[in-house]
Amino acid sequence: MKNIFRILFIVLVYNTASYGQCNGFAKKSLSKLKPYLNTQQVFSTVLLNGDKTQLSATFYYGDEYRLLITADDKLGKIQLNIKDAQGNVVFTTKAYGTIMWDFNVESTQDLTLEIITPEAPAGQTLDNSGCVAIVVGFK
Amino acid sequence: MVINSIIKNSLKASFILSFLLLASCSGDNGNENGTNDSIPEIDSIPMHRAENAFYSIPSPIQIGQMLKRAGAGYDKKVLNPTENSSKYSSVNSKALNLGVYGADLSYSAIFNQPQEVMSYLTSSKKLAEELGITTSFSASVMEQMEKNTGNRDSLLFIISELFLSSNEALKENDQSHISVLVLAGGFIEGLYVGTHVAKTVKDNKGIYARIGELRGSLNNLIMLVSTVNESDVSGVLTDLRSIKAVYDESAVVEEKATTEVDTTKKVMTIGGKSNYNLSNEQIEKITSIVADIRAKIIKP
Repeated sequence: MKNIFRILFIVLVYNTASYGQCNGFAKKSLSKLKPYLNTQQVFSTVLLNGDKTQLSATFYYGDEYRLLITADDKLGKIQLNIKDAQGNVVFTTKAYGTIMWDFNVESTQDLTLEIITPEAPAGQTLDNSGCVAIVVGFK
Repeated sequence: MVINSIIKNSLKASFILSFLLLASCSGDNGNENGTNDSIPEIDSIPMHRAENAFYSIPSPIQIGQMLKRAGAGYDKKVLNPTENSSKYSSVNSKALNLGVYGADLSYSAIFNQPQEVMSYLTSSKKLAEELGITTSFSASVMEQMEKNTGNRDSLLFIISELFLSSNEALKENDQSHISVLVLAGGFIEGLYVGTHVAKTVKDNKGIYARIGELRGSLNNLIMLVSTVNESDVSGVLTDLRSIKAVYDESAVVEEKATTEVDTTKKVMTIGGKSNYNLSNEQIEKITSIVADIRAKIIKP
């Protein structure tokens, strides 16, 4: 039964967070994009400790970009890896809550942005869950 | 609608839980430790969610600006006439043409065409409302657009917000397939405008280079469309794959990327060379296939 309650807890948290918090969570981060224009897409999801999510995108020569990742603090220090088309990690950084970087590309590149949440602290029975939103701006 | 989604998901969750409860209660197959072989120990249940992947495609504004920088001009004749907006009856056709009108609106705003901006805004609003997107195209947004017709930057900002909120409203209402069709319609219109405007420009190498570079985004769009129920979008998926087939006739060369990072300013440059060049034959094929697909989309 303990197992069942644990699964119930995870499923309920997952559903509630997906439809409630995450949408607003992503929208809140949009203001930080200015003066960059949004790409008309916002990507948000609920992650648990030890999860990962990724965004595939082409970044075009001539555009300047702002990459904004926001995550629930309770998830801990999130990690961003930027991978090139061959899967090589070309940039990595870690931060609590928000990761924001401005960048451009010397030639058009297909890149993957990978966001990884840390494992739950040792001794913690349940994984934390929280929203993660990715927004890309350009100008 | 959000409540419906929660209910739906809770029902799914209830189903899973009922199954697990039934499984845990059924039979006397427990071992001597009281555990049941049919249910794994919690520690052996993979607690990490499946990896989820998202796909980003350039907005029509981004495509329009790229084309403009490459030397494209404004040609009203290539756009979908606004009179067509009242002739679309199916949901899919309305969604695709909302994307098309959004792209035409963006293209008109980029080239400072205030009259066309207002016409395409009105057509977009009409289709959006027919699709149940009622809040995005509010009276205040329409007023803001009207006030800023002479201010290109403000217009582009408002248009971006408008289509972002429409996209989000559709997703919140469990209509992701419609949202995906709007994005697909916008992308196809951008490709159509690019390939057709290129024909009117003497030095069109730059425009065709940009069209070649859209290859990765086309692949991402195909992945995005593939994430929704295929029966809703199967025609669009087939059409997009037919464009991809022409792009795939040549290989993309992407060298290992490098980065130059300024950690104080949190700014970086990602280096590495890439080559997305298309042959003349590929350009002709893409132009022709995109024109056919786009004609099918805008046909009332």
